Amino acid sequence: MNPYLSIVLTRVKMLLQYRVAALAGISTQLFWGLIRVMIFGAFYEKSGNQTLTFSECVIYIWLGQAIFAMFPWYPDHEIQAMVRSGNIAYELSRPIDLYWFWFFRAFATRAAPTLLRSFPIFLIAGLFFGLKIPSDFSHLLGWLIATLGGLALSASISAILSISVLFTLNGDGVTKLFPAVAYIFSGMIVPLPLFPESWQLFLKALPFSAFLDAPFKIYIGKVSNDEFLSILAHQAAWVLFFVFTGKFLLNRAVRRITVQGG
Amino acid sequence: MKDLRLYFRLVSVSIKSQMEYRASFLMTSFGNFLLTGIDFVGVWVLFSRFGKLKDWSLPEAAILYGIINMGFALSEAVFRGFDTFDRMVKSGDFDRVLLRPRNTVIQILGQELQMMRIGRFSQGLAVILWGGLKLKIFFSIPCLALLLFAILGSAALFSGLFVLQATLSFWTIDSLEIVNTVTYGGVETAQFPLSIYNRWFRGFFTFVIPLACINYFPAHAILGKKDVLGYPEFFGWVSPFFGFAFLWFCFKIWEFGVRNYKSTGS
Repeated sequence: MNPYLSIVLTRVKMLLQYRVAALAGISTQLFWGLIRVMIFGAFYEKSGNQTLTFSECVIYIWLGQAIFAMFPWYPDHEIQAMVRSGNIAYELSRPIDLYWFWFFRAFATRAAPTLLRSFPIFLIAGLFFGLKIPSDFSHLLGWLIATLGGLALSASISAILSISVLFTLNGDGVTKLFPAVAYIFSGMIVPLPLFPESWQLFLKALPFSAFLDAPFKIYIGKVSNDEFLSILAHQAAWVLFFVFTGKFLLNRAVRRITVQGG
Repeated sequence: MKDLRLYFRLVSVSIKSQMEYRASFLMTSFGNFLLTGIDFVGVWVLFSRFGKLKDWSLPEAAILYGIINMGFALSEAVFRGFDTFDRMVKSGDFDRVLLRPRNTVIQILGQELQMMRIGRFSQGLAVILWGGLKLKIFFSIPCLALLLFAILGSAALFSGLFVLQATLSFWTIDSLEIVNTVTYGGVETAQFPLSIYNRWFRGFFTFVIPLACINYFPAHAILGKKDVLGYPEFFGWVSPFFGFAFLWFCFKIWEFGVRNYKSTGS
């Protein structure tokens, strides 16, 4: 089997065992979603006429909660530990490309908990809390494809976060700030259409709109075929950018690496 | 008295050790500032889009936001030992604490005073200063005193939750992530006036966990606002007290937990 495919499969299999953690995650996400639905409901009460209707906003919130685990929240903890302990030497001696090894590890690390958590959230929010399922099946499929693109983007960013640990050792700084920026500019806190008009172009161009905002628009059927392709192109461009940056940084890091510890 | 002296000794050691890594301290504090401050960007975006939240303006909401964030930051810093207490139970280190002829609570609190929480604290402070200056509430001494009372009350309330989380780990061994829904979720909830939530939710955060008492009611008293829920204004002047009562109650449960503690034996 292709080594990268087996990396993804074994890691997903391993991570799927964390069912209790997933249960805690699901209830946290449901609670969080409920708070946000109530907050937005109160804001919408007086001025309903917005770039986003309230029922769309509710869908936005729940889609966000469903893919919460997909976000590039932190570098790979195991890589972080390896850099500190010196075990990174083993990683360097593997007969496969280190970048893609880390990329697919990150992909699996994000995919497994998202798989575990999103189905129950979809089910519960769909039944009780106003997450409407698109009437047109192609919208759902389109959303799924774009979300997979978001997952690839998340993996490419996570890989860079892990690589940055090779430079900083402790993994503070960038690895904390980047996710925070990604969080707000993806629309997880406030849906992007509600941001000031003058920001829209900028928000759309940033890579983070590819996580939630663009897939959401496909989900509610606001996207034509051409726009769908341009969304995928936007995702692909950013994934390529982060992959090349990651590869470049990793090459530099490997050349000047100091193995810690004895 | 002796306990207090011990606490200050322990804490000063903890601060010194954190200051050894000054660059790391500055970076993580700044990171904490941005990471938590981003929430206010969200609040700002909402108000700039919708204008008002029922009859609340952005500067008024800033008071709610500041109280809860400063209180939570204080609690995160001081009660860090309770927040990470499950590790002590898992490793069996709590046995050592019990063997020492000193107060257990002081020993756990003394483990760490997490300085980087100054990040959240200062963003809360910045927000409340901005809101307060806009609303001109800082010229009244009673208002300032109540503000301080509310901040300390909210610190006490969250500390109570951390103690409760630690107590649960006596039985569950692992940390219960579910408590995060009332700590972090509580902060998120209380950044907005409690009157916007539905009844069962309001009831929970008023009577079970008295979150409303440490920011919603006092904010009404400070701002001279009329409560749509019909609570009298004077209540806001005394309600932060319930934050402290909650902490006291949580310590009682903690004592019960300690009496029933069985070591993991490792």
